[in-house]
Amino acid sequence: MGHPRAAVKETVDDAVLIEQCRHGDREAFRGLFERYGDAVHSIAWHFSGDPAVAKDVTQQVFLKLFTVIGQYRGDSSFRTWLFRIVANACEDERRRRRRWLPFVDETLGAFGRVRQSQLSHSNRREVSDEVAAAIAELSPKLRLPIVLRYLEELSYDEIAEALGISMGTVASRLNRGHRALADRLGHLRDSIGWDA
Amino acid sequence: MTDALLPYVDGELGATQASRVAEHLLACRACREECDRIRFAARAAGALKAVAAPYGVFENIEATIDKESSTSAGATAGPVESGGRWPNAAVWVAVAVLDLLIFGLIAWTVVSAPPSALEVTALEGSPKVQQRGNTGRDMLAVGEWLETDASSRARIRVADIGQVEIGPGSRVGLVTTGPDEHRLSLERGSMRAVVVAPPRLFLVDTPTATAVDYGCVYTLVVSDDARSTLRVATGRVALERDGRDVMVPEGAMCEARKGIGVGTPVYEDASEALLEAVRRFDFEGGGATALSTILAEARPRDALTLEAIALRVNEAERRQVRSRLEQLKR
Repeated sequence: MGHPRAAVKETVDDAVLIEQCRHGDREAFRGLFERYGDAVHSIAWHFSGDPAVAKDVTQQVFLKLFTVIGQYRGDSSFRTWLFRIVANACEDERRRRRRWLPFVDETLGAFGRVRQSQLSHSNRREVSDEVAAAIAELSPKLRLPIVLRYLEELSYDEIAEALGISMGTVASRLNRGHRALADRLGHLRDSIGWDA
Repeated sequence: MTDALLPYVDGELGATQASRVAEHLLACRACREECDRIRFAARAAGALKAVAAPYGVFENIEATIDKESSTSAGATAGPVESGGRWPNAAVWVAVAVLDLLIFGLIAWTVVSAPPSALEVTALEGSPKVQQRGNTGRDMLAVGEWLETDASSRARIRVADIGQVEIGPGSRVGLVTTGPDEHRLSLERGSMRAVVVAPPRLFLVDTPTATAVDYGCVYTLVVSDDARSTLRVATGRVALERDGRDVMVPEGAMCEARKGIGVGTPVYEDASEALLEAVRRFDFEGGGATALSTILAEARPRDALTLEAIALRVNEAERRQVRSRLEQLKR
């Protein structure tokens, strides 16, 4: 779950980078991209299921960040504040494109189908593909909370802040998301290596 | 109890609540099965993998920033040939035909391009666009400002999605207009917007927040101290600033103030005491006293206000708010 860059703690370095970015420091901006670029891209990827859209959204988010970073006042977590921009960008892009590509085929195509000869590693990978596909079939409202919760490990509070919804709504959407996932992925319960 | 199962599995419950759920699970098979389903879904979702940003993304971002920030020195004229002989008649004809084609192409482009200005109609007095007195119609171009004095009003037609009435004593600018976004800037004064459009297509910046339309009728007032007050008559409007946004539904209002940001949404038909307490809580450091009044005065409909407040208070206060919300639901 998660990835190395997303797991970077928000330390004083973040504050320094942000302050330097406010003064137009490109190296500091690159530093923020290196720290959060993969997380932003991953969220967009799992939300859209389309590598091209994920790339576009990532670019849009950092372009937006470059222009609005002066508005970040530090009274909330920078990561959550950034994810708010990501969530808005995902939603805007979804509306703009009106329809997203059918996720399942695209996802499996993007990751590549695993071969039977690739034993436990391949099984694990196939599971993650199937999970990604099942998440992509959720409605957009359920998809983002699930992605933020399980990919970025945000708390309910943080998800509420990132999506601009109440914690009650977060819990309700996660609940519905879990039910839908359990239904769609029921056949994986006995998958080889699943409980490993 | 079902609602508590997910927070229980996710470790989001306090110790007391968690032990209550655990006790219940011992006795309730249906809830145990539901818990298993949740755990399974959570474990499955945990298999999601990060997907690294592709190579070159940052370079594209930098290039775009460079392109946008570079000052355009204007188009450089290409090399011009001079001298030489006059062309013959056939060449003149060819040039004329080419000119016609180019003219036609330009005319077609202009006609088919989205408008870069919005139509302004004087409703009362003599509103001014860029200081041009106007008793009839005018156009407000991107970057231009419309001003009304104490005795004038105007209407801006926002392409084909709606219209905005500008009240007396207002100054409003056109930031952008196009198929993806129509954005005004209300520096001071008042406006009433009637918009029928997809969400987030029409936005109004004020000195303290941005009002984002979700298909609605609303008024927005910016006072001399830059305070923005949004009142939604129908539909919904988000008030956004600094990554925080507040969705304001029909019948509700919300304020944003300089140096503080966006406040809490509240229904206008709430009690005077609640409205006053929300104002003190948001902008005057009302703290626990104001919160107590809000909780005491809240009706079931005021869950809107309580849910927004729950996001901004400490854990102990959040518990109080949640407890009140639970009472109101019964």
